[in-house]
Amino acid sequence: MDRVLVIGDGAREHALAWGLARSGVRLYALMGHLNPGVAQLVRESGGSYRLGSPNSAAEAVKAAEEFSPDLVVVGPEEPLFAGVSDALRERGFITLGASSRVAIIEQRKDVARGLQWKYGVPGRLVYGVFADVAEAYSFAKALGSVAIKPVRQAGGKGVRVVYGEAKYLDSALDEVVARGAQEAKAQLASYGDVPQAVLVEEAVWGVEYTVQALVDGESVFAFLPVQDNPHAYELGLGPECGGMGTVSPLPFIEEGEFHTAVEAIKATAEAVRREFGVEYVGVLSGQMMLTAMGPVVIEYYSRFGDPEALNAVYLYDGDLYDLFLKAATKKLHKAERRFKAEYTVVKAIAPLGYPLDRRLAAGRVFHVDWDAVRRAGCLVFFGSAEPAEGGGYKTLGSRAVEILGAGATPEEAYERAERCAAAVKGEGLFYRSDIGSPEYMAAMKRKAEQVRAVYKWRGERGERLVWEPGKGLIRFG
Amino acid sequence: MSAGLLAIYSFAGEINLYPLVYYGLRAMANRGEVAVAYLLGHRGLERLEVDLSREEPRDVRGVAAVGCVYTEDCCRVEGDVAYCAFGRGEVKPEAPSEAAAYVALTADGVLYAYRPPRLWHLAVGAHGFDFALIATETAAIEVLGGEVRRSLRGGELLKISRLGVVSTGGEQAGEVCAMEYVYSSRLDSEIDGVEVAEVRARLGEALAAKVKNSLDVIVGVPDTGLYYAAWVAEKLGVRHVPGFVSTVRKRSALLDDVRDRVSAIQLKANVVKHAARGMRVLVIDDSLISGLTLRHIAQLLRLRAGAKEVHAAVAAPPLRSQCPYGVKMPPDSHMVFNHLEQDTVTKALELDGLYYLTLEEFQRAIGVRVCTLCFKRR
Repeated sequence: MDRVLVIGDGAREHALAWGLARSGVRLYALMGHLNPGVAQLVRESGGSYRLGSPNSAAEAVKAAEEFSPDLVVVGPEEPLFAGVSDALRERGFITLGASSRVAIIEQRKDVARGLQWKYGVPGRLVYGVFADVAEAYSFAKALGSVAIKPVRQAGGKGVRVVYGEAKYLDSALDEVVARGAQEAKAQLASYGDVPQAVLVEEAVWGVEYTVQALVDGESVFAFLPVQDNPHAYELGLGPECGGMGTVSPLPFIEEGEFHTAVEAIKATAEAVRREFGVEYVGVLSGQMMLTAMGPVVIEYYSRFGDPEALNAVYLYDGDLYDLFLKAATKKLHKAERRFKAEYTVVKAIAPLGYPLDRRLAAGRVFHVDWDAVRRAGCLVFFGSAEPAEGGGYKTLGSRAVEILGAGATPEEAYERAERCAAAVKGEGLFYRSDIGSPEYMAAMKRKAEQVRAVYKWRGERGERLVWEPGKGLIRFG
Repeated sequence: MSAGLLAIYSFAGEINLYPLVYYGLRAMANRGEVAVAYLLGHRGLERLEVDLSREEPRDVRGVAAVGCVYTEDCCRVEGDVAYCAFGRGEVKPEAPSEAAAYVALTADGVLYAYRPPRLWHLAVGAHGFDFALIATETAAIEVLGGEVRRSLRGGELLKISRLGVVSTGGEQAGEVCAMEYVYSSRLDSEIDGVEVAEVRARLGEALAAKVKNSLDVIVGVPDTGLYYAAWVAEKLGVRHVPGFVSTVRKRSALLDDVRDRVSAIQLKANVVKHAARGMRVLVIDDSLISGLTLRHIAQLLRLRAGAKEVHAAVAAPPLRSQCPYGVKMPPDSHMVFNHLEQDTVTKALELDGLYYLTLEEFQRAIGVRVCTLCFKRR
């Protein structure tokens, strides 16, 4: 029986372990906290787990040496940044997970944008990088509508989007921009591995979609596109967070738009190889937005998204272990793209306080009505939660549980996910019931059609001309 | 005409909310001239009288605000809660109301927005990650740089705080006040996902089907009549041109006093003589209450511009009774169709012909569920 070691302790890793368990492997895990779902899968497969920091290369190597896995799967981004995959490969372990040199495509948003422009990767945005908050502010003012981000990946936090076309609102929105730049920079204070700087780029409007792909250095295997929802609260209101739910596949995204994302991923893997001289082996995901300029890369993940991983793993209709092994050993060209003809809706269930007040969000006890889960016919994945002393589970501050409902139609998947979300019971938990609803799907379709008509019209005209009064004509593309 | 309600919540913390409050209310100036807001800053709830005619560089810091535009003040404070409400029935936060829409803000920073099961509209939207926006008019959300998420459902209560958004109750909204589509709303707003302009276009087409005489030109009464006029003209194949120039933009139907109403009409419609001289003219308006507007317009066209014939067509059935749900309108005794037969009305308004949609025609054409009580004789 082949052995697989999964590194990480979130709902994404629970989903990866679930998919791998279906391939009949013996599971092992290295987790920072005891994820009840991963622990159960490990036990059922006859494996075992260690508790320790997934971000520590030394601990990862120790776990691998103890368990002698045939494959190590590194789930989250922080272990990749910290060189966990590199350390494992050096010791001869077959590993699915990007090298720290190439994971920089996610870790450093400024590096990613720079490579996109240098190597002509499709889906670029105009941007600037500033150590000085005042300079970031004045560049933002010049751009108009902006996204302001820390240069380093910081768990999806510290991102501001301000639609500044309406000049009459300047005296209110200026402050949001200025504070955004300060807060984005402040997010970096706890990371010693990057310059303290802020990325300012043009804000785009449209429909988000994530294309997750396996890359083996030569071939790219793309999963079905998934849509994530970064607003924390119901109806797409409120602060940005790690993602409150997903739908997949996406009837409102055209095949060509999916392919542009795949092309961007291929071109990015190639750009990274040329720039750093290291092959990209692992997961590379493009978090895209369909805009009036066409598909644009908002950012990269050097791993599966969370919760996007759940949709990808569920919908893949094949042997996940075999697929991952092919990706880790340069045999991805032999993999067959087979997917279930189903729709999926994922909902994250988070404790009150998430994402603005982690202390308030931690320590809430909840239960899962497993009979109701079985009746609903859905899947439950544990995230930032551990077993509680008196029974049930306890939140640790982030998204506690992610549930997946599948069905023959988007409506069926949505209804199943809603029933399942109701089976997670506890005080002070919330989730977004709007995600995946018929109303939501219709709104996304309308929005996609709206931006599609414009980018196709622009595409037919070829180059874009910008007339700047007093300066002259600027030609793009 | 209902009040324009507005609510803003800043997830970004305390900022200068004044520009958002001002332009959010100003975007609903079609609903009145009295604009009031309550804003929650570190000093607690603060009342703001907003002069919609003046763009002042004011700095009023807060995390949330509620406000209202109407012909009178519709906001108040009770204890540590500020309310802005419209409609009948009691209003208290965290509770549904029988027939009132409201936005409410508590001193500890919780925002409520409630849409009653029928009649009045509210929509919710977002600006980036930082603002939740709620307004009677979806156009107000757009003016604030926001994206409309959806209309609240009938009977839905939204509770917004720093820690989350909770929606309770609500089902498909019942009938909306017909005048919201016909007259009150901005042409660029949507109600329950239906564009107001689309509804008015349908009414205009239906109205065109009733016009039987030959015409040379079609003009609309500013402002609401213009869009109807374009669609009537399109359907009839008759030229449509601007027939009037406005000196002030005022919603004349809102005014109680007859003298105020007439002077408002006069100021918003000076006739373009070239458009009508020697011609058979059809003038289009949204609704007919006392007939004062139409009579004035007809006289302008005939006497000042020298029109040969003046006909009028009105998109809604004539009003016959005051709204029992709180919409401000002149008393029943001012409603011309309560007192006179159509032929007499036509003569009294000095028209050559008068067309309007009957209640049945109106309900068939409008394509959405509406309350039509004011079109019926009490």
